[in-house]
Amino acid sequence: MKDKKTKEKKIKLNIIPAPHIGGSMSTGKMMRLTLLALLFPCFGAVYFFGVRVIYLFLCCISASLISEYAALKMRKAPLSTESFSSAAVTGVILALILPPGFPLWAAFIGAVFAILIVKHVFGGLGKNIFNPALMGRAFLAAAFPLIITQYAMTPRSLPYGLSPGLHSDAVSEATPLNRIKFEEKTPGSSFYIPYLLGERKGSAGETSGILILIGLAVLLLSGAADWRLPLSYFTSIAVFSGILWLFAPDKFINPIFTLLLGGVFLGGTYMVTDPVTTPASPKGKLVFGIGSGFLTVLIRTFSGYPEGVMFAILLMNAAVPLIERYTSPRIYGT
Amino acid sequence: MGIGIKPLTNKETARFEPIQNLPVPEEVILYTSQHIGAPSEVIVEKKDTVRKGQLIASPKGGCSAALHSSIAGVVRDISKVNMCGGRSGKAVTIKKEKVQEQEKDFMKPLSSPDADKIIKRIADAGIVGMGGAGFPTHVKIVPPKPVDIAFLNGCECEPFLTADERVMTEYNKKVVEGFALLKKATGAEKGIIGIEDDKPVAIEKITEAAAACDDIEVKILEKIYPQGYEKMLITNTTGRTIPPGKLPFDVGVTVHNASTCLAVAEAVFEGKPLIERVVTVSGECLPHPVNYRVPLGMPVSEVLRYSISGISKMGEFDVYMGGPMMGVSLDSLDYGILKTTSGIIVQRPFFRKQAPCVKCGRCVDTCPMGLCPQRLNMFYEGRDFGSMSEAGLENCMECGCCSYECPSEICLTERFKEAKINL
Amino acid sequence: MTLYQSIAVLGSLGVVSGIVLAVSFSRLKVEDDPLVEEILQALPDINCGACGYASCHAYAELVAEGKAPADMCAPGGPETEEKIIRIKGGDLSSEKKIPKNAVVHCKPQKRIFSAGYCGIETCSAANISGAGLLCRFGCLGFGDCLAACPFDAIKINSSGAAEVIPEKCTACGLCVRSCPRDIILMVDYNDGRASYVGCSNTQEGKNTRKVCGSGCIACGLCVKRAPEGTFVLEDSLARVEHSGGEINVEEIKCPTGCIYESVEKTKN
Repeated sequence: MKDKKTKEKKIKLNIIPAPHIGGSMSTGKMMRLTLLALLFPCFGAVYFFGVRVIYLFLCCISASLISEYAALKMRKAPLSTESFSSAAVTGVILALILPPGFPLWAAFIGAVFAILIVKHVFGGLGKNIFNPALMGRAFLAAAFPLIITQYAMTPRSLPYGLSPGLHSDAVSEATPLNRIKFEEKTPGSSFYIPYLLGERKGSAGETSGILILIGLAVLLLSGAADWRLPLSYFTSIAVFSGILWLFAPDKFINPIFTLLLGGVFLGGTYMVTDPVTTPASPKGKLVFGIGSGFLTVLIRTFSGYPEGVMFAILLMNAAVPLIERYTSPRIYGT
Repeated sequence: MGIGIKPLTNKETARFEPIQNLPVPEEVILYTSQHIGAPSEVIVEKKDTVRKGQLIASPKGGCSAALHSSIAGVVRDISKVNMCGGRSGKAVTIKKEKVQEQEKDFMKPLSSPDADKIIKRIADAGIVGMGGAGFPTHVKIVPPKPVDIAFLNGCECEPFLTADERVMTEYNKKVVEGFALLKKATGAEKGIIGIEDDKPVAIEKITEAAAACDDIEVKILEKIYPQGYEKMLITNTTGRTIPPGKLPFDVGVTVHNASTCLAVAEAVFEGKPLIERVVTVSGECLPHPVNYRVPLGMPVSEVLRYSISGISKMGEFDVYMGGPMMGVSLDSLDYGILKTTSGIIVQRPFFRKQAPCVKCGRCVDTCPMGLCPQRLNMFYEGRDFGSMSEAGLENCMECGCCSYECPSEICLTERFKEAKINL
Repeated sequence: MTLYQSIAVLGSLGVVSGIVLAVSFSRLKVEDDPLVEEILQALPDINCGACGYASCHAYAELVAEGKAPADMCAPGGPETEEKIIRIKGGDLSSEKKIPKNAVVHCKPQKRIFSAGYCGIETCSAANISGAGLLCRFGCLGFGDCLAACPFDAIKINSSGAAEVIPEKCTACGLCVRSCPRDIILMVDYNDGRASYVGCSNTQEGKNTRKVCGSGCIACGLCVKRAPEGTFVLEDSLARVEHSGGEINVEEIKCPTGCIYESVEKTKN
């Protein structure tokens, strides 16, 4: 009897609040999967714009990590891996949406702004209202409007004769969207494939639609992102631009180019799916996607800007509390 | 409205283990408060000799239950002792006598009882809802409103637990008979037996037994947690929804657990009071999960002794009564088995990281009650319990789905329990 | 020219809005009762809510209207009551009020835990599972009362249980409401001292002994040794019925030493 008692002493019981088991997804895993999915457009960026882009990535990531560390220390918050991996995600996304030749000092400022002001002033991971990377980019666009348009780089040609011969008429420094908007030069249908593969001017990571879609597949299949957001976003862009195009085909861009050009794929894959700045309710997610798509088409078509993904998503970020208020699910029995 | 979760069932091992009997324990601790309602009143004295099945505490007031000795022995102590779940209550401790008398002293079997006799017998046998809530059955079958459907809940949706499934497989006839008695006592026209589709053997056995009764129908339900909750069960089979704050009888339904039906059949046809129940002993730390028929009040350590031998006795454990989604952690292994204990699970503790909420919305997707746990949690962090109540906190049935799904491992369910207390 | 135009337009706009504001201020002004202001001055103005009203201002308004009695302010105590009655011009009641303080009725030498706890670290959450504390009536020590106390009058002592600092306590009663185990009670302080039983365990003596080395085992010695009527034994727990100077804690010689005397140090 005595022997039994001493043996039992070695068992330490614990009081754990129910439930005593947990699901397979964790926040850290979500962040790691997002980083994995981000690798694909990063490869694309390095392929098309060369080694210069790697410096841009390193600069943005280190700036975000340093400012995350500083912010957590200042706020006396615990240094959790979740916070740092989310900061790394912000850094990578910011690098992807900047022009490939962007000056490193400016990129550094953008990343610091994204983490310190956009994320931590509002309370850190999970509390920010706006997507930090997008807000960082918006800040840079407002602070250095000239730089952000000047550093577009000419992409490397695609192999195997897939290249559309962009270089022959690459006199203009403009991206395809700029050319459509300001020079009214709409590309022909022969550009579908090269544009999908990524041979066009634009920000570092947005050009290769196919690589981004692989990233999206990783996110959706692993369950790291909710399918409702990208689906509703892409669908709404296709539908709204399709309506305009059917109305006046010669005046508006067709839906395929609307999806292919600019940052639609990048935004729909990595920014619209950011859980923190999008609604939590299932219906709200659909509303968010549809709203961002509508605003993207609206800004692109009727404003002075050639591109509208960034502002569309930021505007919808601000509308999230309102959307959540009106789309919360019906309580059982009421 | 969310859909609940599909956790790993972990039932494969204990599912085919026949129910085993355990030797009579040295001592049993019978709590006077193991049901909803007033604690029962002890009617024996210290040092009294009691027979197996003898009434030792009688119900006090309308909503209470009788308590019988589960072994033959001597009353060693009647005092207020610690119970599981941070409570304390009066208990009768009975020490085993060498000679265990046989069951001759039970009540007289009834052959073809009418409704009143059934209700009286159920009250005398001290039967309570054995699924977990412990609502006295003789009160449940006399609802204040007429009821047209009686329900047998054969959905044992919690992972690990297989006690009800084994009861339905091995005692299919008795379970259906007991259910028919409950249906008759309630005055319901129709009986429905709901079983989840992951229990093919139990479905077959119960269908076979239910074939004899015309007005009892077997319905096969999807395997999903929390299918076995009254509200989910009723909505998924009859389409009726229970408004907030109402009980099943408000929509004309009563729900009974499979083990309860077995106890009713035994009480009526054999005169045996509720003195034992089937308990699943399982968990990732136990090499051989089993189903035991355990005398009520048998200490957990005694029950575990027969299956814990193979495992390392070192380190940290989380031992809990009930299933892993709702179970209550034990802080000592000396507690007795309750009428409502369906399982004892031994596992390594799952410490939650409690990272910040990233608003992914998984909890909203999963909540079977259609709440927004993420929003509730936001209010909780500001300790704004009033707003939580406005957001529907009272509807939370603490099933644990949101905590299970939460990637940040926030203990949402526990937070909501606390908020409900503070309202 | 444009400069003057804009100055003129904006200037006149400012003047017009100023006039509108000034008129609406004088028209829509709510008359404030000077009595309310005066009573508010007499109140501690900490909005603790002990009186049962939303704020000190809300209470002051009701007192001024005569809808609430003057003795509701617990933190202010008799002095505030006296001030309010003076302001309202009423008669001071002659009966002397015994000051009260909150006391945590659990003062263990050592709290015994049988299991680790990994839940939410508040008393109201820990009370659901008991947090592994063997005593079901003992102080959980997560400090819900500490958070509720607006006067910093509660500390967690070396054994991990909460303890009220009597000279800081104003008897507002917020801690009493915050304690999920209901072990904080109001106690009479005669001449700044009070005796109390530092245990709330209603289990029988032998079961109390199992869970705590310094709990009340209901032996009844205090009832016998102290002057009659000062101690009562109820539900296996001794309780001080009548506090004050007449109890000598040393003389009682409580076998588990769970009778304490709390002395209020003089307020400076």
